[in-house]
Amino acid sequence: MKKIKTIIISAVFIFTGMTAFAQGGGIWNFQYDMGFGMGKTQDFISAPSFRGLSIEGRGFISEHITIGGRFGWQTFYKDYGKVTRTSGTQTITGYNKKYINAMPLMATVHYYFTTSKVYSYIGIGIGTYYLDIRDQMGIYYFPDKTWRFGFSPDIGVVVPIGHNVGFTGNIHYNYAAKTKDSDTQSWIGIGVGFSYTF
Amino acid sequence: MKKWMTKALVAIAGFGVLAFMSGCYPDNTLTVSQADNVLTRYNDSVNFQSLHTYYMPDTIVWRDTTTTDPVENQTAYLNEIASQMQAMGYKRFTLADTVGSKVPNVILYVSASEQSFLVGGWYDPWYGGGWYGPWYPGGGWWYPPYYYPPIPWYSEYKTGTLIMEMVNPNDYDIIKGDTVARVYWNGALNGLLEGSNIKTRVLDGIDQAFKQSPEIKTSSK
Repeated sequence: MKKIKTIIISAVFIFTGMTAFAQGGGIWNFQYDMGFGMGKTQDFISAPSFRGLSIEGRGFISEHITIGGRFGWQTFYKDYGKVTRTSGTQTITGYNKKYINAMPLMATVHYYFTTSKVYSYIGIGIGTYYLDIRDQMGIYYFPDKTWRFGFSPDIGVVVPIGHNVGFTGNIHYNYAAKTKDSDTQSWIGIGVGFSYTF
Repeated sequence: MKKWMTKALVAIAGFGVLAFMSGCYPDNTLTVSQADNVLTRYNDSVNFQSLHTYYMPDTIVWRDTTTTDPVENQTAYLNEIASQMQAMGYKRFTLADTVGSKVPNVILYVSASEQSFLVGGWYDPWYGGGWYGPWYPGGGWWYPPYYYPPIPWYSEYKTGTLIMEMVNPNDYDIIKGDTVARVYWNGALNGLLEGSNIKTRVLDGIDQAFKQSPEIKTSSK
């Protein structure tokens, strides 16, 4: 829990720091995220994730370009039931559940094609992912908690529905680099939510 | 933006974050039987085909304890192990069989251990997933006002382990002056010592240990 608090506090500092640059207005996004694992992530947990949220602040530094910060949380989970695994001469049977908790903490830059009726944009986030991966057999589990370098290109739109408020939708690819002992993790995220422009 | 919309958005975001704080490991509960694990390992330098006989003591030995009470249900467990060894093609030696120079190929030792764990911490009702404490009757008021102390909690659980070790006393190494017999195969069952069906779970675990160890079958199988 301490690590999670650290991440959230760091995210607040990044958001406020980034948006402080924004003298020409900006956008806050609050969204629900779905995750569809790819590569090693899908190999580890084959089920998609419908537990995700993210908050992002962006400030315009020119007519078409924003910089900002994004914090998110995506939980992948699957109950594999009773499984038997063999590694070399060793075999274990137990009730298996797998979890991936991924928390991206990104500095972002976006280019807006239009900022009139509909905001459409393309951009990228670069920063770190905190990954808490758990492979549980019975009451025992193999923990894997790492901070990793990562990036996240995205494309999306904001459709205004009222004064300063709009629906937002985007697709973002998440890539968390491998570490010495852990595989690369990657997934496609689809986010929908609300935007608040200021 | 209208004030009510702002409040609604903040409330939705707030509840979303709180839901996530308790949702880090969704569905993270297990039934007692789901907590059972069976682990086996065999020695791949051993030719199990050449083994035919074994001796197994008629007692399960306690490890790491001085208790002399017999392991509960030990006769049922040993009978199940003997049945599985027979299915693998091994003939059980009794003491009467060990006349003259006749000795079994391997010995199967069975032992057991228990461990208790006490875990605990402070439970913050702000982040309790679906648990609101006695001062939240559901009517929309809170008591005592502005004071929601963390609540201490603890839980004690006991695990049990049954270990089967197949060794050949004539196949040993001298390590630092000690004679150490090579382990040919071992199987360990581990689970929570709770519920009324411990005996059934252990018997199922014994069966699973042999089921996942086809490598130790003898040439007669």
